[in-house]
Amino acid sequence: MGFVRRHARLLLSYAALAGLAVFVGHDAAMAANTGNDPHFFTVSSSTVAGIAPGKPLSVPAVVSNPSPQDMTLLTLSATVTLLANPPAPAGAAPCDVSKLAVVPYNASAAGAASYVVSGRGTRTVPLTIRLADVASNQDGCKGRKFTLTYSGTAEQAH
Amino acid sequence: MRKPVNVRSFLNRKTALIVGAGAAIVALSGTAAFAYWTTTGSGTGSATTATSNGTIVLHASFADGLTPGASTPVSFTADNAGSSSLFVGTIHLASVTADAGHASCNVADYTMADVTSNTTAAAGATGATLNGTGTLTFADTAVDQDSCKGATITLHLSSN
Repeated sequence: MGFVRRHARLLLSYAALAGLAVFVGHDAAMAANTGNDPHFFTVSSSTVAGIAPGKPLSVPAVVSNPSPQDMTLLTLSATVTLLANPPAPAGAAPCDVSKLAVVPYNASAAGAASYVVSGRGTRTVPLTIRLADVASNQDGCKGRKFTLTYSGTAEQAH
Repeated sequence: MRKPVNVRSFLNRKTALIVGAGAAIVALSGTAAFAYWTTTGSGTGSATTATSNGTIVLHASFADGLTPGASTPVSFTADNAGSSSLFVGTIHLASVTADAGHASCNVADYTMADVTSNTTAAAGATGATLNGTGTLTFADTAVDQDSCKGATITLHLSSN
């Protein structure tokens, strides 16, 4: 106790230094984790053909886990981008790409299936793509090609 | 009498304490960061749309008793068994046939101009009423048209 009282100011300084070190250390760890994440998983899918208004199709998205540890998929979604080629049929109105969407997966949604991807393994997640059947002319979307860009989150399986 | 402090020893102890504590906390922090990780993923795929999605079945109806030189209105309905709504722009009379018992009837005497409909037949619709009314005309020609008496005339339609 006598020692602490005598060197209170010094100890406080050291404590602050230690706190700073912890903060910096943690920050550095997080930066390393996000900047060069060894667990970053990849998603791919083969071409889904024959999409038409009101006709939902399954998109088998293949999730690859490069980590040696199993992971549980939390979310998986895709954005849709319309490619310029092939172009819309002559005279057709522009394709409203906002009407084409992939239904996202969310593990926390009611009734959602659970997808555990084994370490260094793959798992197919069946997503659904749907072109809404609307009252306006959708000929501009006939015979077009789209890119699906996937993004998702996962956590280490417990 | 105050006991003299061995500064070197004191600093060594403190340094060791601080370094040890800091390392322990950093180690704990590191353990917390990696023992239970979350991660993200990305990738690409592709999709293509169909060039068509099914066809529509058109039906025409008109009154019995058409005679040479007369005309009758024709109404239209459509069946769409597909999953997409289909649009009927213009209805065109592609051909006309008579029943087998009236094979010699000159069906070229039956004509109908194109009908603008511009109607959307909803997916799964059966017997959906289409806009537009046609006019079926039975031409009065100089030749004997008795072969068409009592014939059942079928109109074969197309649309775009």
